[in-house]
Amino acid sequence: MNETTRPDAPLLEASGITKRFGPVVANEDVHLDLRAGEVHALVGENGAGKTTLMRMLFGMYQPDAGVIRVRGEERQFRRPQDAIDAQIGMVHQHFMLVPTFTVAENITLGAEPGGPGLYSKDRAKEAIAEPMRRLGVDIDPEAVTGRLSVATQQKIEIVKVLYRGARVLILDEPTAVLTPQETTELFELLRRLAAEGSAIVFISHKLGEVFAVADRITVLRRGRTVGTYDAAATDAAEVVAAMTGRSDVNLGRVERVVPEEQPPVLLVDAVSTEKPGHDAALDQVSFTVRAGEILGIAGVEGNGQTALAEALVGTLALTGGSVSISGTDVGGLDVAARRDHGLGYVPEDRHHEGLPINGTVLEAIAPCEVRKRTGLGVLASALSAKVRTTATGLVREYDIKAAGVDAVCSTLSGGNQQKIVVARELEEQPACLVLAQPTRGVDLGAIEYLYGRIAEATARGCAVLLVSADLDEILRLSDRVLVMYRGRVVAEKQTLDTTREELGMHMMGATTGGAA
Amino acid sequence: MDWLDAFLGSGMRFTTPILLAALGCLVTSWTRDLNVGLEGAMIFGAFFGVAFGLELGSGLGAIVVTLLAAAVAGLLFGILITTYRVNVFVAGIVLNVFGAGATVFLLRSIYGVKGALADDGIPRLARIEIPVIGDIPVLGGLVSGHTVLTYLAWVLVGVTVWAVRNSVVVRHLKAAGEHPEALETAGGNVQRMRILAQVWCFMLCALAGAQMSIGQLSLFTEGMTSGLGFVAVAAAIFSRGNVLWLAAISTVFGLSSAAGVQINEEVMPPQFAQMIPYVVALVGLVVLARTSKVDQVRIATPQLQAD
Ligand SMILES: Nc1ncnc2c1ncn2[C@@H]1O[C@H](COP(=O)(O)OP(=O)(O)O)[C@@H](O)[C@H]1O
Ligand SMILES: [Mg+2]
Repeated sequence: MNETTRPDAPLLEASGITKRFGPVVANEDVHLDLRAGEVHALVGENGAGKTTLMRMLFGMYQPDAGVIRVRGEERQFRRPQDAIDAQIGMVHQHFMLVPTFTVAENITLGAEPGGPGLYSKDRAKEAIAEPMRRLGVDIDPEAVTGRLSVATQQKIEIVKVLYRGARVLILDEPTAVLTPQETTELFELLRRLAAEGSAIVFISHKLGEVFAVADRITVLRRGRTVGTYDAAATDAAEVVAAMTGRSDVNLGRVERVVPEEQPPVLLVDAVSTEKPGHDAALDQVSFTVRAGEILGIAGVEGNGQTALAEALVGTLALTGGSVSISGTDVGGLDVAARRDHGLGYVPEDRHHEGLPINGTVLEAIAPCEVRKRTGLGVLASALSAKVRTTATGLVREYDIKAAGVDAVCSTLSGGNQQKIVVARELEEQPACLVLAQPTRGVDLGAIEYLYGRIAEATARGCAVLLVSADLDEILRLSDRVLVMYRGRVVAEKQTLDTTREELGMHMMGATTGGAA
Repeated sequence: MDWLDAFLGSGMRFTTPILLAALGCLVTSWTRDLNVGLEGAMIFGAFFGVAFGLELGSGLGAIVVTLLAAAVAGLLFGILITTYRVNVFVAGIVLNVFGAGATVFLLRSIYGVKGALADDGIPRLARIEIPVIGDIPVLGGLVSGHTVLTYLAWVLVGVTVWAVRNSVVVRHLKAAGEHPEALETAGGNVQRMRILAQVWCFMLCALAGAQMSIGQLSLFTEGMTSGLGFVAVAAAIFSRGNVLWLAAISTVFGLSSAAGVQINEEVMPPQFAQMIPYVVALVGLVVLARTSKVDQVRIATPQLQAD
């Protein structure tokens, strides 16, 4: 150890950190300090710069200005190995696991036991037993990683970090893919590691989780540190205000009048599909959505929710069952024809399906106008003056923060991009709107705004199907919830009569008598 | 049974360049930079094997120098597709075209000949006759009377099988292809692995080419690799990363090439006989496409990267 090391110094400290990507300032004069034995939450809206800051602490990016100190000693991390050597480990937002490798191979990757240049299966198995025991998990070292559940993969990531001897653990949005029960379990693991003297950085934008696990909370807003708070001495309102810069953000249920006894609009009867590459096959899914109603579809990702949205919109063929909108069977129709029958769609993958990410705002809005043209109209200019007027009007009406209708979509924040998609879809006054992960990567202010717009649409009779992996979203917005598991509907609940925990049970496959 | 011995011996000789090149190609498929330029790398190997052989007067000396040259070429190719981000498929195709053209050009400008270069000064790798076994029917044809490169190819099959199980480098090569960020954040070096794969591939292709020019013969002719590089790419793809499969498929291709040459004109016109290896490759491709399972393993991708 160096003489500059002080025992009372923070385990890890970042001060005055600035990082730019071209014109984008991702971090500016950021401060963060971590003490041994604490769980430190790092919160902020999407794009606030949390991931960028952590990547600098892990040596993946180099700061343009500022210093990083490990136990009081200034350090420069040129590559991840430098950070690993300083006992820092990171569990990334996207898992860093090789799908075809075994669990043992993944955990030991980069530090293989078995002599120079050699890998020994048995030695690897022995070497990972210790960190597994410390974490209190038991995973088959020979299992192929890509076949394991998301929650297990995440545990492997943590074991991997422990195997490398980390005292500082950074977890970037670890709960985004977990059910409530799995989240609780993860928090227990984190608390145990903190009690052993590690420092843990927990990144999230879900405040309920933050207060459940954190000792201290640091808030980032637009790349700057707003402040660090003791969890015991602050509350959600103060943290939300710090995150958004506003003091009036509503995080509770979206208030709206739910009309009684409306006719059903979307009728889905015993729908089955083949297995698409990225999701489970649908198996006899049935439900109805009434006019003015919001039906939530919950479930761990990969249990058929994406397939359901695609089957409704017409990009995934049905192998059985029927779909009808306002009494017309649309099961055999193509996407355009379904849209003509009043279907609107906000796709899950905004960048590939939602809008032309390298196109302009005008081009993103134009399809709704252009699609309605018939006859010789199809030969007219796509971006006519009329389209431009409509687009300009929508940008103003939805308060889309863009340099104008000719701004390129990729320069907009996630929230503003999503406002464009929702504006375009609602402009067509759909009878039925399918929303897939509508607020993923969207900031809290924009979420509140979008919810308001969706509530307005239901007030004039639009039936909404809300597919979301975010239980908070479902609990805030929907009237009724269906839970999907392995392509089937395993439970149906009135939102006001259920809890996160109950939905969590169903998300792991528990069925109820009433449904399925 | 003489025809059988001749057929098997010839089959083993054809298998050697295919197997060597395919073993090189396999490694580039691990890093997901499949090199489709084997044919070009092989023709260079064949040419420089002869050229260095003339210069040095020794077959083995020629092999060593050709290998060094191939390593440098592989290094450049690797840097091109990593640091300079040239699309590896395009680079591979360019390598094929370049190889065909450059060897013709060099042949004319250095030796002033067209078509073929034959000279008494061109060395030839010794054929190793194994005593006793060489006299056993069938087995003799298979095992005895080949060049050192043929034996090396089969030793490399064993070495590769061993390395897949027990070496760190193969793990890192595969990780660099399948999930580069995972390797990078675990402290590995993705770029180094990708370049290494190309160096290895070039060296093995050089051996494959040299086997054709100074192993089987002692002359160089324009276009003498005659598509075997593409057959090797096919073998590497068919094997789906499995080394033993790769060896088996290369042998099938080698034997069918031998059949193409050995089949009597009375049985089949030579133009048709020579198509046999390609028909086998085509049939293999169709069978593979029909039996191939969709990739079943998948890592969850939790969220859109922050906007
Ligand atoms: N590699 C990169 N290149 C360019 N811009 C980036 C890069 N990484 C992040 N950014 C930008 O930096 C800002 C902060 O992003 P990020 O740190 O990912 O936010 P968070 O994790 O808090 O959601 C965003 O505006 C993002 O677009
Ligand atoms: Mg992030």
